[in-house]
Amino acid sequence: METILITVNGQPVEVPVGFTLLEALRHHGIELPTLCHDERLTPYGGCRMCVVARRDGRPGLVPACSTPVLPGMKIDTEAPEVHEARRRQLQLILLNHRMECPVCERTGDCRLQDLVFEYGGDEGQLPFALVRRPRDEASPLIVRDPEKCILCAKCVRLCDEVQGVAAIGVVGRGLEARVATWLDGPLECEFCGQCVDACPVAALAIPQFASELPAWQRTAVTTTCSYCSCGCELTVAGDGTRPAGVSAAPASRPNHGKLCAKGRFGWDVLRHRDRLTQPLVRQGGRLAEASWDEALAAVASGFAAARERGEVIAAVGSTRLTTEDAYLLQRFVRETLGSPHVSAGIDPGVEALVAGMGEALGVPRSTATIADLATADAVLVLRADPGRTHPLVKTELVTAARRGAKVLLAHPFAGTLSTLAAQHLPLAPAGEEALLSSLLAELLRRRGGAGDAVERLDGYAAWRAGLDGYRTGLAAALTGVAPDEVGRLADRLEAAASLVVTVATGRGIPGRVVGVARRAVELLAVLGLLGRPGSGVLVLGERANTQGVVLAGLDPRLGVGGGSAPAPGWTAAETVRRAAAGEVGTLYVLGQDLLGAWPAGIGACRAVEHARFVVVQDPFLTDTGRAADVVLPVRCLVERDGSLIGADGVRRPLRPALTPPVPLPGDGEVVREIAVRLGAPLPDSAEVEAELARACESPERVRVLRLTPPSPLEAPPSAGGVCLDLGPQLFHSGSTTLRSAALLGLSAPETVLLAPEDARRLGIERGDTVRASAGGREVLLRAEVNDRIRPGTAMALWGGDGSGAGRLVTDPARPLAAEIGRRS
Amino acid sequence: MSTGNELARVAAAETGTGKPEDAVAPETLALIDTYLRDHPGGTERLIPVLHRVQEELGYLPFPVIKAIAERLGISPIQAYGVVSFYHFFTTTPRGRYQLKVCMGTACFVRNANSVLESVHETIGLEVGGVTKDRLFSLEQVRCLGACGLAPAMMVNNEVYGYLTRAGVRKLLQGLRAKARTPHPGGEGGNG
Repeated sequence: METILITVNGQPVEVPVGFTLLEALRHHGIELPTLCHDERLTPYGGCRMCVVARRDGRPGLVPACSTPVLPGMKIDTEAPEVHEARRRQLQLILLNHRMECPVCERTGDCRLQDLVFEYGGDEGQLPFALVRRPRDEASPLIVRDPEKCILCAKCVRLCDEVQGVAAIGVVGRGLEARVATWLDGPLECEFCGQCVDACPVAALAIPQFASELPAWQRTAVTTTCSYCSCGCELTVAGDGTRPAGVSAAPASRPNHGKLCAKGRFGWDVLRHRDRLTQPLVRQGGRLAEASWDEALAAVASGFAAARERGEVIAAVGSTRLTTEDAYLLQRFVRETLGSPHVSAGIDPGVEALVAGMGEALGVPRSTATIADLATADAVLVLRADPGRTHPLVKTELVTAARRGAKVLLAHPFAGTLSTLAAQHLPLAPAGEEALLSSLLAELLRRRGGAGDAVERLDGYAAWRAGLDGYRTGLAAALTGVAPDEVGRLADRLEAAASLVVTVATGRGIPGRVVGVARRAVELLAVLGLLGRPGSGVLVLGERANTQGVVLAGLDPRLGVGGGSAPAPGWTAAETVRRAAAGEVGTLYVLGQDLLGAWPAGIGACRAVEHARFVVVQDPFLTDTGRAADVVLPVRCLVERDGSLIGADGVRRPLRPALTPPVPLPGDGEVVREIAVRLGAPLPDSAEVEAELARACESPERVRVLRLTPPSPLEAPPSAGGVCLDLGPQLFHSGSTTLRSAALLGLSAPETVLLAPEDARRLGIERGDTVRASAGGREVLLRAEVNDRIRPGTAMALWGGDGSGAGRLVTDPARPLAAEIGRRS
Repeated sequence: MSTGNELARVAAAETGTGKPEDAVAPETLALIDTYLRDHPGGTERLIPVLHRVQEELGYLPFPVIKAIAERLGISPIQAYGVVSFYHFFTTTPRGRYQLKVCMGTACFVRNANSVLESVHETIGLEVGGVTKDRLFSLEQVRCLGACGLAPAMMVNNEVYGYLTRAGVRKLLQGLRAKARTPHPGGEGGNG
């Protein structure tokens, strides 16, 4: 880093070129007061608290936040005139600030209060009448108190620069200036709550976190968000009984202080009425509360009996389990119960990692990280609008697009990325693999081959032959993307020095995720970017620990660390199928609602019915739990201890930040206890940790590449000319969030988006109730007409699991062939 | 409509096929689109296009601000932030004849107040007001740069100087008489 010399308070200081004075000083640990500065934002120079005096012949005070360092600069940060300027500035700020520190909810946690305490400014108030403005309680979850606002505009700038939403702005001028929404309506935004975190005073607040306890008596625990796989670091403030604030520090990684609505507001689920506090054991046909001792004894004797009878025992876990619990579960099932049939549930994210990345590269991991989005030249976004599925990824794309990176979106609906995308390919649902195949065919044609490294590989000829089917633009008819659009996409990819391909996964996203992951790896290989730092494929799991449970060996095909399994067993789908056929005697289901999540039926009903003994372990009483023989309640989300591995492969600590309604064990503790009762205790935590530390080590670099021929061309199904695609909603991702009253308050009714021409043809207008039916089931949805959705596709925005249009899903790999019509 | 609802935002902001009261007259949209087509560029065109539209409509209705914002890829509140910052832009209808009475130092000492009073006596307007027939609107401004003509007033783009009470009365009565002829649209209240 090139540096220059400046003088600060008489001392020579070496600082990097291109820094602002404030950055340079903070780089050296010299603190300056600020109210409007945020390292994530463009310098604003609004509050004038960071003024310093120049001592190099130039007169006056300069704001350090927006003054670049220059060679030979001499400044004084603590001169009397500097302090006086800060005091006067505070005096001016306080002029129009409703000052009521003793009763203010932010007292003790207020930047303005701190600065007034340090510099003064509250003495001898200037004669001036406060501009009165009422408290604004019209929005859900967030209240605004404009009389407290000091117009630092951090909320406004974060909403625009970081979040890419710009739901609020500064309007008016002088004393009339205020932060406002469009037409002064309620907030219509993503409810990420970044504005509240950024507010230095009490102008923005979250009433659900209001606490009687003063700031300095609250506790704070930093943990990892356990909703999606972004792995955001979050801090929960507590007053002993409930959360008194959920925030993220600007220094948090990978989220840089960002959270989404789920991570900030979704914790009321922990006190949901479905929450189990006591084990349940079936007695005389009914589930009745039992003591832990009775319940564990029932489970142990049930498992022991099954083992003695030689029945098949199978366990279906979840990608929500912590890495440690997943490790214990697979060891318990494989060693204690002696069954190879252990899986993490029916989760497309696991498939993408195990069968996609694992098959192609030999390691079931993503090869790119969320941090790579900050430097990538181009990002190809596949299978979903990350603005809905992985909010942190969307904010990274906002930043990437603004620095000039090309965001390339292939999706039926541009959604939240519509203003960012350099290119939007209106893809038919589940057309991603066909698009990648035709893209590969195009690149091969242009380059006359795939390059030596790829051509030397086994199976090249078959792979090449498979791609030939995509040559002529035949794919265009099926993907809905014109050949010249594919050509333009190829141009952009060839021009990119680094490329990240994001592959979102989730039950609501139809398509062959395995094929998409493999083709994405091959695309990078053909572009010569495979294994290059800053380029790679980023598989985004729907659940928090998709990557972690895979590395912990919770998969019938894998051992710990991602090697092959000691003895291959059945995947979750296979387990359910076999159980439905009566081949499974005992079923152990953890953190997974096979019945509730698949109401259209994958045979789970029959599976649970046919199994002689069913044990369900879950924080909530689910449909599967209601049908079980024993139900064991456990801790949930951030009540747990352990670790999660995010989509980026980084293992992050999960610390108990909130407490369950009654003391409850974690999943692993329950598994351990059952193992003890079966006479085969599981290894202690130190041994588990040693093995996991080895398993989670990141491989140095990609060494192998295996080519697999692309799937044959296949037309998406459609009924009545419209193909129903499920688009995950921003505020929901399944059974957990659907129990949050806070998030339910934000979410839309079950809605289906239709292109104007489709709506006209079907005689549907905005706001109509429409009927979507498939396989003899039907759901009612509210119609929205949207001209950014691809004609021929209807997108049902869906809350996850068995809600809304999810009730129609029977095969997650395929878009739904649903019939849509007006409710007559 | 449910508040803060993602779909409402998607539907209203992303399609522009919002509520009926959001409708902007096709000719206004054409005006905006023509201007933006003739002046390629980015968001720096916000102020010029606002100028152009206000010149035509006499003011900037909120749905028009929203339409402009959507076309420039910014949010409506950002565009309104600019509109509300500049005194020149207005979101309330102005008269066909916009009276701007100079209250700069020179005019002030030469009794600009009498000009305001005379306007009030003749057509009953207060500063910031618009006549019911939307023929006149009245504002005061800082300095027109016509100090030699003090006290001065602008009517649309023309400056009138050395104003007396009687002169103001005569001028306004003349304009009112002239307005009997049908006028060519402009302040027509499209949304």
